[in-house]
Amino acid sequence: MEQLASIIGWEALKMIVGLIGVLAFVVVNALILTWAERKVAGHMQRRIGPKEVGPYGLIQPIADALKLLGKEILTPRAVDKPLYYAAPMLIFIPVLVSFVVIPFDASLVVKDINVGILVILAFSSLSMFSILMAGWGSNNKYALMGAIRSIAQNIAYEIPILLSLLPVIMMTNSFSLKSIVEAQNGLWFVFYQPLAFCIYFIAGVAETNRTPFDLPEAESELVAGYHTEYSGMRFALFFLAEYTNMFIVSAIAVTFFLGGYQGPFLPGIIWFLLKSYLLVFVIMWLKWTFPRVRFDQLLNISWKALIPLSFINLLITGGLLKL
Amino acid sequence: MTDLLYNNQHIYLFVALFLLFFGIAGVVCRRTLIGMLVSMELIMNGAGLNLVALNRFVSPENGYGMAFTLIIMGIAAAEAAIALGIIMLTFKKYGHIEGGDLKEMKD
Amino acid sequence: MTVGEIIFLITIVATLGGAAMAVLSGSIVYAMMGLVTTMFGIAGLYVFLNSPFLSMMQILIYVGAVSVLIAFAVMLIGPLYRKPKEWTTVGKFVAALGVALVSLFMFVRFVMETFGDTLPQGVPLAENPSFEITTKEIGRLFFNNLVLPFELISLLVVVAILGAIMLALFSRGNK
Repeated sequence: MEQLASIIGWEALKMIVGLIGVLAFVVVNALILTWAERKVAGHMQRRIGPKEVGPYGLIQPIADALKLLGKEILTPRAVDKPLYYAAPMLIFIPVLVSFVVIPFDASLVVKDINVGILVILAFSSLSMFSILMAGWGSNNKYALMGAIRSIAQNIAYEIPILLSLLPVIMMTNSFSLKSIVEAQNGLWFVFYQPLAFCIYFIAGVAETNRTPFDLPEAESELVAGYHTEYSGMRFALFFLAEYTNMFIVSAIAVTFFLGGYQGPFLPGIIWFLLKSYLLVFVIMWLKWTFPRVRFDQLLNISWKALIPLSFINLLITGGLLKL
Repeated sequence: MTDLLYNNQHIYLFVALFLLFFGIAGVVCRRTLIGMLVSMELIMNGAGLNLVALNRFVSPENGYGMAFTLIIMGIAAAEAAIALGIIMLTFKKYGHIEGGDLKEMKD
Repeated sequence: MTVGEIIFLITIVATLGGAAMAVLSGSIVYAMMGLVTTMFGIAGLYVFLNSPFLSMMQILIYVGAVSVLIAFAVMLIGPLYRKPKEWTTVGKFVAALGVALVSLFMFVRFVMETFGDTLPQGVPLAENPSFEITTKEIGRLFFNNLVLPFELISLLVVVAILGAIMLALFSRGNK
């Protein structure tokens, strides 16, 4: 350990350990969320979910993973090879970069960059590119239509996310996520900015392409959207990225509005995970409660309702901060 | 410390120069209108890199270069939007976007 | 060769490689991917130039908005244009680039030798400049000295929005 630290320095060693921890967390999180999704879906539909494999079906995700690994990786003949192969790999970059700046506890952050939230927002626009490459590279009309719809939706909902996080940044005068959590020592920001919390949550759910906003991957309309031509392990990668994105949206909502890792008795990281998974449960609840919105209604919600509301919120916050 | 490769101002200016030349060559040699637009974005990026490099090495006490690069980004975004609107209309009317074949106003 | 220098060289290779792909490739989609690579490379170079805010803004604005816009246009026009032909061959292009660079070097050398003593010199900086330019400083600059460019750019964006709406109405009204 000491020789390694003398070659690259303690700071770099701490970062590498943090990155390995983050990778392990991403995998474990995906396993937990696939299990939770199927159980929650089952109970919402008045049936029990998986219960055969292990107690309460807890080993079910491992069985799913083994099944997906065992499938034949089929590459269609006329795909555009560099784009087709690169898309599932690129979709992980924004996810992993976002995990670098999220504070799990007061000292458990891989690297607290002082433009932290901008890193997350900037790299979430990279996931749009991987959807584009998947859609174009598949050489398939349905995939292209799904990709175009997904990108239109992503662009439309990226703006309310930016505009609803901006009042919190104005109140804290800092971009770094740790100082935003530290500034909530008195009262959590959800009480100061309830409208911004609602707008951020709705826009965040739309960004991750979950129902009720999941027209791009609607199973009954477009075969499977932009990941039509992907099978086996590559499809699993897209799936994994979607679940981890769900967790990141909840984690940012918790950090910005619900106090991050602060809480009375238990250590900080348990409070953080509790609050984040509560919001993830709410997202899953939404999936099995609401029907899908139509595509023009989808864009109308963003451009005609969320953006004017977030602008008004921003103006009111700016005005009240100066008085 | 100034013999570290990235504390030397000339390499940034050369990269900006290469980007400018690639961009100009692209605008001249590309056949489709969208290819020309992509090369124009390269030119703007090169200009921005030049400004920030000079800000950091020649006058580091204020942030004028960075502020102007933000303004250049805004200009590039607005220009790309309008240019793409015109390209889509051209495609709708003529059926292709080859720059060399748009000759209605030629004698 | 410290780790920082190796990452710096990788960033420069990404920038110039992306620019080469954007200009020399046969299909528009690969040109666009080359442009995205160049933009990421330039964002990396901005981090080396002590401006992380500008680097994230570069990714947000260029990669997140402008490149996606170009990609949208490519996809809506696209399926007919997989491999357009270029006007010149690659050999002529490389020769033109070489001639331009050699003549530029000669010009710069001439200028430096004639006027070398009166040009402004670059400041050799220590590792951390004593005055760090943060987001707050850039914001203050926009509201103290650069108010006019700020207002003009907002005017430009409004004009661009109006122009885009007019173009969309043209394209619909022609039916």
